[in-house]
Amino acid sequence: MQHTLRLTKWEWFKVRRLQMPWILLVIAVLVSQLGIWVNYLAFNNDDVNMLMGGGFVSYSVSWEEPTPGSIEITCSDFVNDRMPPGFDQIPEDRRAEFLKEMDAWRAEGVCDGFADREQLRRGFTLPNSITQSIAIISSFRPIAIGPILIMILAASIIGSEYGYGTLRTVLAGGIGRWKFLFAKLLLLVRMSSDALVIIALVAVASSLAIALISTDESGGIANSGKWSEVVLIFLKTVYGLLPFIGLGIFATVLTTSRGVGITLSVGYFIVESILATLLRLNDTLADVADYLLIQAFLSWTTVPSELDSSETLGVFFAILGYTVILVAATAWVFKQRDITGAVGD
Amino acid sequence: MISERLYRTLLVAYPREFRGEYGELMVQFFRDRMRCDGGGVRTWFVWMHMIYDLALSAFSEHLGGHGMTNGRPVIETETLTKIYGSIIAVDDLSMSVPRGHAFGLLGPNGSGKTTTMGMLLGLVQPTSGSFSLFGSTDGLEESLRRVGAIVEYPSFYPYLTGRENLRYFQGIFQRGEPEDIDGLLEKVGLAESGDRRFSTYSLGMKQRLGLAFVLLGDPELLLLDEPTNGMDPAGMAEVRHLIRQLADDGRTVLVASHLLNEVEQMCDSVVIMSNGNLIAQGSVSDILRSDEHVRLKTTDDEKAVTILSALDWISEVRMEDGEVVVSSTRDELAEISTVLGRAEVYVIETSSGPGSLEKYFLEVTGEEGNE
Repeated sequence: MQHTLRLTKWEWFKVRRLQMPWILLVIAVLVSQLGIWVNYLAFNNDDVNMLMGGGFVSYSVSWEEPTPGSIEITCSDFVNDRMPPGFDQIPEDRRAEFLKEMDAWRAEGVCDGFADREQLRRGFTLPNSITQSIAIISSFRPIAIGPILIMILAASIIGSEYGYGTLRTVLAGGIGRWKFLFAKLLLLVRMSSDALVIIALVAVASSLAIALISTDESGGIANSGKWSEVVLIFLKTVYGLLPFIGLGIFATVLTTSRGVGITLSVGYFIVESILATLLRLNDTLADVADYLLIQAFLSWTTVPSELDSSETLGVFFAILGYTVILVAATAWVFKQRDITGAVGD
Repeated sequence: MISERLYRTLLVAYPREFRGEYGELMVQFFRDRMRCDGGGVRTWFVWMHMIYDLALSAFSEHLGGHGMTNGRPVIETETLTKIYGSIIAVDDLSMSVPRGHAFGLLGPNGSGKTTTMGMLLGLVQPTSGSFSLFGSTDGLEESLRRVGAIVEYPSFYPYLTGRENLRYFQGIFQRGEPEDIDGLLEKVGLAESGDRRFSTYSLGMKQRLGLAFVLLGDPELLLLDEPTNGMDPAGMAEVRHLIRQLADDGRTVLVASHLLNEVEQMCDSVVIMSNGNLIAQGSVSDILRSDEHVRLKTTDDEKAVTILSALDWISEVRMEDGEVVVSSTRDELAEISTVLGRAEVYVIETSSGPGSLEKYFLEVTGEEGNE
């Protein structure tokens, strides 16, 4: 184990000089920051909030008696329980009618896509801003950006050894294949957790910056969410990324090519999304779809969690199973294969 | 025939003992004895082999195993075979590389040299057969820690400098100390360009870095695949000198090459491979000696060919460019002249030529020509 840890240290000595990990880190940080700053902008600007909610939508009530009139409310006011301008001037019975209509709309779920101010505020104040930043990396739609980035990184780190022909130089020196592979896996786990720590630190910096520039009721520095949630989402995300590290490495070792490894592992996303849609068409198979790799990951890392305890356990074991299978398959293929020279990829 | 094989095995196993002035005498003695007494020599050799091994083992124990594990060859392969689909890359290869010598693995492109090296380094899984490094058939990873190797061409990380590459490999292999790197770069002539990225190196510089890499931690066994490939003539000479020096210092060096002249200058012994098969092995000096010849002009060349062909101690006689070419050493010229004189064929003019590994190689491989 000591030997493997030393190998991991030297792998980092080498990998930190590559551009790819830093580029991927910048992308991850930028995406994670989107949540904080969009929430902040939406908090301070209804138009942004409406854009986030899907467009400029308003609901109105009109009447003819005693004199024709109408009043309308935007979703922004609606979800924040603010009455529209001119509400106080309308007749009392019309006011009651309008409030009744509002209850009906609420029951129908209109404006559900619009965030209330409290929800927006939670998006950029600590510690919830950290939780959201990490979660957005996992579940940023339309694609889960975190798994994509980690698979590209995994395929690059392993694939470059094939591409440069250095795998042969390393293994000919008596570094056992499994030790080398395990060192790479450890390095990738460390890099993914380091990236999440950096994302968290940048989130802290952003939240502090917002606290400094805000002049309104946007709140204190740390008064939303729980710090325990930060730890939980951090651990869940690191754990949830494991099978994707396995998938990236497996595809690369199987094809001995960085490019094909990336294509295959990213292509899996498309295949799985089609498969999940098809499975959900059938009531019996719909549950199976929930345990497909990406679906399991998304439900595992969604904040707040929508899973009950038994589902959480099921998803936990599903992720563990994918990780074990992919790593074992990679180790087996890696052990069996002859190591040839540089493939130039 | 068996004596000849045993003799060659001994030459490969103990070429150092067959080198130098004393060695020359031994070789001559054995060759002479074999001509007349195959069985007796065979028994003699077996006893000598056993006594030598016992003495070496005792000496090794006395030293506590430091620097030498036992009297066995450093590399030993036993019917090693590698098959890729329908292609037999290496076919039943049995060879042994003695300790402390420069050993050439010679063969045309595609003859199986690199595949053989790959198997010895655990990069290629043998289809059948076995091999041992330092006399150990298990624990290949442990054995490889005593090996410095470059297979086919030096592969390093292009985004790291030469120095960083060495530092990285030194770190993962735990070979030597960081301060050794300057000395190694100096030794291979890269002191000035050690801080340049590997991607900016010329092929010759890459080869030099490869040599520095294999010397990390001063390994006991070096496996080099075409080590002078891409180098300028001066660089090639430097590398040949370095390899010769390493072998003279007691390290074992296995050099795979298709450059016959290079192997002839660097190596003590060679294995010649063709199409995956071992087709010849022995000490370089022995091979060169076997190819020595004398050229004669006589009063009756045709009769001279007939007379000399009948002698069992002359392996080949032929007419070439109006001369009689006899596979023989210059020392045997007097005897040849006497034999011919008895038949009233007189030698008018003589000349002799040294053996050539290239000629030998072309003969045994059946190649028309190779560098």
